[in-house]
Amino acid sequence: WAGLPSELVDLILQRLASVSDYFRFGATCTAWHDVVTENINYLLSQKHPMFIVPLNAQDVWSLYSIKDNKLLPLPFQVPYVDRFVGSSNRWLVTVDDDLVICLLNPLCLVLGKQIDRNLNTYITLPPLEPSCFVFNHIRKVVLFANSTSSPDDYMVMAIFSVDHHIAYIRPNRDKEWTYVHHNWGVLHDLI
Amino acid sequence: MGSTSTKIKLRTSDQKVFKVEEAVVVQSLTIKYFYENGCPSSVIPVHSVSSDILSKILDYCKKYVNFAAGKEDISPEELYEWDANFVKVDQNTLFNLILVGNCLKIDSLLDLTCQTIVNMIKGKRPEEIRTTFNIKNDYTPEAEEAVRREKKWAFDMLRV
Repeated sequence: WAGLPSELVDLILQRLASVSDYFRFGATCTAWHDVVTENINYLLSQKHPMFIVPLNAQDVWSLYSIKDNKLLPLPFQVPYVDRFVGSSNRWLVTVDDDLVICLLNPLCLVLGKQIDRNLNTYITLPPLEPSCFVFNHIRKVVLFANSTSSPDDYMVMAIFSVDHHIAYIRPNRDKEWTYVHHNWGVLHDLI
Repeated sequence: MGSTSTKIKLRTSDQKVFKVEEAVVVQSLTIKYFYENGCPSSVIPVHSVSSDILSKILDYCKKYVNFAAGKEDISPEELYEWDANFVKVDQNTLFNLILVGNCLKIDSLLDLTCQTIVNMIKGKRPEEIRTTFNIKNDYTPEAEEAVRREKKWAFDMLRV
C-alpha cells in the first residue's frame, strides 16, 4: 500500500476530516508523509478554519479548530512581536516596531521547541524602508502563492504607512522590497 | 435493437476476453474514450486489469447501470448496503479496485473505495494503519521519533 500512487493518497487525504488524522496518516510511512507535507497548507486552508486564541500565560497563543471542536494542544509563543497584523494562506503575519514583517506558520511549529527560522515555520522579511515614516502603520499584508509548494514564486505584498505605500518582495529571490510608486490616493485593500 | 444491446470486447492482462454491454462498459471514462475514438469492433485491451478484478468491476458497473435504468428492484438504502458488501474484500483486492477505479476512471467506484479506506484510517494510530494495510515502516527510528515529536499534539489528540 505504501506504493499507492500519490494522486490516490491525495484523494484519501482530502477525505480525512480532522487535522490530527492528517499527521497520523503521514507518520505511517515516508511516502505518505511526503504527500501530507506537500498538501498540508492546501488541506488546512480549504477545510479547517481556526481561531488564534490567547492562553493564560503571557504572549502564548493556541489554535482552536472549529471542525474538530477542540483546542489543538499546540501552544506557541511569538518572539519579539509587536502585534499580529493579519493572516494569509495559513500564515500569521506579525510586525515589530522596526517594521520588520515576519510570517509564522503555527501548524508547523514543533511543540516545546524554540521557534527556529526555516521556510516552513518562520520567515523574517527585510525591514520596510524608509523606516522614517512618522506613523509606521501596516495596513495589510498578503501572501501570494504558497511558500512551501512554490518557493520561487511566492510573493508578499504590503500596504503600509498613512500614505498607503505599496511594496512587494519575493522572499526567495529578492534581497529587499520593491516599492510601487503610485498616485491613486488612498488604497484600501489588495487581493 | 437499441444501443444497449451493443457488446464491447475487453481483453484482460491474463488474456481473457469479456463481452460486455456498451452501457455497462462506458461507465469507465477511459474505455468510453477508447471506444468512441478507436475502432469499436476490435477488442479493447485492459492490460492493467486481471480477469478476477475486471469481473468484479463489471458487476459493480452493471448494478449501477441497472439501478439507474430502474431495472433493479432495490431502494437507494439497499444499494448503499450492496456497496458496503462489495468492498468487504481482502486488502489485495481493495488495493486493485482502487487502482483500477482510478486507471479506468470509474468515478463512483473510486469514491467508494477511497471512502472505504478513509473509514479504516480515521482516528487510528500509525501502527494500526500499518497493520491494516500491511505497510512496512520505512522510517529510521530517529526519523520516526522526529516526526512524532514534531506533531506530538496530533497523537495526543487521540487521548484528549
